[in-house]
Amino acid sequence: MKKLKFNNEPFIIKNKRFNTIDFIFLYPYPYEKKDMYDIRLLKNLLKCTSKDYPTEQEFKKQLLKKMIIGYDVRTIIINKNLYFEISLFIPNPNKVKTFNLDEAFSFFINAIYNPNITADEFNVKQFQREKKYLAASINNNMKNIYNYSYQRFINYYDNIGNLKNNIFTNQPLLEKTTPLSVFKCYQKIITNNEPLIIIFGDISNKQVNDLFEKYHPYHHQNIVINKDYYEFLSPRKEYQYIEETSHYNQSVLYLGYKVLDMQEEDREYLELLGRIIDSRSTNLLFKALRLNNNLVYQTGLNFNTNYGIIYINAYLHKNSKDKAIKIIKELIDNLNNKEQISQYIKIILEEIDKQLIRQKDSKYANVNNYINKKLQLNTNLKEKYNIYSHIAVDQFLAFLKRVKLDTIYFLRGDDEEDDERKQSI
Amino acid sequence: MMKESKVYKLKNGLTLLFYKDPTKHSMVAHIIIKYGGINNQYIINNKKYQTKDGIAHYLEHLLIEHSIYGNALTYFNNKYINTNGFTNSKITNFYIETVSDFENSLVELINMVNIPSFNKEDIETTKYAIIEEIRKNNDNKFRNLNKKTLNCLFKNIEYKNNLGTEATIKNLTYEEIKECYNIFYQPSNQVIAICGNINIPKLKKLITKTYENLKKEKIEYQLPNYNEPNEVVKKEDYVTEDVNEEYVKVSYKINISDFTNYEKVKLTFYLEYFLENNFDESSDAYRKLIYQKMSVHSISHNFYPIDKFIIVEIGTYTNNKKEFVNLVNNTIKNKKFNEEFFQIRKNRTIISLILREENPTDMLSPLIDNVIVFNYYENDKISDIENYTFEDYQNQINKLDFTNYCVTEIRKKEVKSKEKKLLTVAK
Repeated sequence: MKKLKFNNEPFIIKNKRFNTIDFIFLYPYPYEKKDMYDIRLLKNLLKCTSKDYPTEQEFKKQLLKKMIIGYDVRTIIINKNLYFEISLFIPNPNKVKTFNLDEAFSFFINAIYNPNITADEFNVKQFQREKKYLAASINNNMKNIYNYSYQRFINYYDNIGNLKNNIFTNQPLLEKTTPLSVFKCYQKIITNNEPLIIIFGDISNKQVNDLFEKYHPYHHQNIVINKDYYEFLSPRKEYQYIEETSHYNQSVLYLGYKVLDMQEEDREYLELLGRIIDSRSTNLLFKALRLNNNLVYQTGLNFNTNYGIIYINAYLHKNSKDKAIKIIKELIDNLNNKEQISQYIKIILEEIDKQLIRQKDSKYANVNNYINKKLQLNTNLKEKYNIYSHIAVDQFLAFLKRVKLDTIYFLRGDDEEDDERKQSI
Repeated sequence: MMKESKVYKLKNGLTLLFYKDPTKHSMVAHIIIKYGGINNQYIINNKKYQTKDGIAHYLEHLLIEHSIYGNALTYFNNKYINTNGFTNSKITNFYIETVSDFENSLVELINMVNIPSFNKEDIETTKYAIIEEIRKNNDNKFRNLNKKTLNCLFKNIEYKNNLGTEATIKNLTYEEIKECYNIFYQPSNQVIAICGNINIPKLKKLITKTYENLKKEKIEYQLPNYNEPNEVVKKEDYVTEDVNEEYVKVSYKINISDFTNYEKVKLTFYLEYFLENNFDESSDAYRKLIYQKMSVHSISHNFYPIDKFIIVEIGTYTNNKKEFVNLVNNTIKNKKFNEEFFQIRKNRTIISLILREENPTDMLSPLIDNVIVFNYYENDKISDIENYTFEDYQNQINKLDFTNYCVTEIRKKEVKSKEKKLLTVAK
């Protein structure tokens, strides 16, 4: 297992083109599924309360008063690694004279390190409220066709459990959470841990040093974590077909593929395959299902290179299912022509070239590139351009032969009143 | 190099909005047609014509999918240009975003919109995708609630949604679609909005010349005066959906015809302040909602103008309809105006105007709204916001008549447990 090493000194990405400054604290921690609800509740509790401002009303008022544009808590979970991210988004004090940088930063540090805790547990009343809110949000979300169909699909597609064991499918675990269990989670992720700190914007080293000295003095410390990002799902010998019924108006079709003997070095091939099928410039999937055959309004492709999976979904009329399956299968099967693949790669390279120009306008490209590189999450666009430029098409074709259909899932809609509408298929 | 915005009106009635930002690499152009889902009537020579619902949206699909360049999505995507269109109640919008070959692409976008090449067969082909889109919308409980709310609010404005129904779409004919195109797609009903590192005089010249070459025939027409009464048609209604919690919404129908165009723009800022102060997480209403266990969710609020009205909507997930409606009505009746909050929000608005400069589209979008929605041909200015006063804020909000409202809700539907596995086959 690879080790990732970094230190806790703030890293400043200087940029004078934007009128805002971002502070990002990223706490790395080994992820365990049993903690999923504690982590989620911790996220919600840190987002809206602190010891000094113990109610949402008071907390929100302070955000407004201190002219904080954004204060957010989110999580990045990659297989067995968790990155707990807390960020502050503020105006540049050089551009907004009435803004007080010290006040905003001290509030931010206080919100992280002085949460609403009494006697070694989170405030019971606030905890109960967040727990109820989380349960209600999960239940409401599961009524939505997009989430419902996806959860049903991965239930069959994911034969390891990394994807299907999520907050939508493990609600008995939510019942086990307590103000104490969330506090313990807080201790291990935040207080007994050190973050990777990234600052972006028009701010000097001296300003940053002064802020940290005053409000969050730190001692230089190296942080080492085990990088355990990959758990590749193996395809079944024969693909499975599952069909279920629902009361929704639409029907949804998923075709899930996996890669036989997937290796870490196949990740770029898998992403390239996704780009070939569904990037704007090639547009193969949309052309096949909508433009050439008029079967869908909406279709999409997703891939996750950490698990070695790629799947397609299509929202369509129930009568169009068989034709859509045939078309998608043919689309993937026909990607075996060397000349055609070379042509697609050329198109993808041209598209990335344009994206690199667009990125110059994007505030977050620099930050994301830094985080991706530091945490080895993904290669950046420039690196991808170089990788794709030098890709051996024969090797890519050999990779394609290992891409296997694993699961077809069809959620049949209930538009009985319109059964007479037969597609001309 | 200076950032600047400019507004022009050409001889043919076409409006041009420009925002120049020399620091940016990406350029964006929108062609906006003042024709949306609400426009299902027009008057020619004093005769009123009624059209079917959903034609504006249908035309958006036809012009993109059957353009003189073939499918325009494919055409522009092949040139690495992002493009699409959308239709809402008031407008149809076609746009491109590119980092190269902007001027040629702009001319092509103008041609795509102004040289229709769809035929009768294309009308039939396009129906399938639109019917799937309607089904998609029918699976959205909030869209279904909105339809019900609009039915409650309006007597004469026959606006239900932008897409139409499966039945109306199936029966649309080439003739009625083409007629709507000829009426509503005249240059005088169009706005072109462009941002990026652009040469404004050069683009103005290019656009003028391109439209001269189109030689579009002018048709005189008027939009109907709806004579919509201030009162709502129905005080209460509901839809039934598969939900875990019921959702309740109070919608106020407020006549703002006495406000000037500038005052309407200002009112949008004041309404934001007022609704946040009275219903957000820092409000007393929210505290009551949580502590009296009416809901565990926050209170959502929004507003949108239709005709001479502004509709203010306040809702949440709750199984305590009566208590929630009372809470909302009492909060509105006993409006709270907090000067400290007003000053804080005013400062936030100024910051948000400064931040808009980071993204040219963020500068252009409010200008488009001001022009299209409020007929106000200026961008929001920091100096204007600085002049907002607490007294004026109170006066403007107090001018609003909140007495006409309806309550609509999403009730639980009993769904038979149909989500069972039918078959699992290994192939």
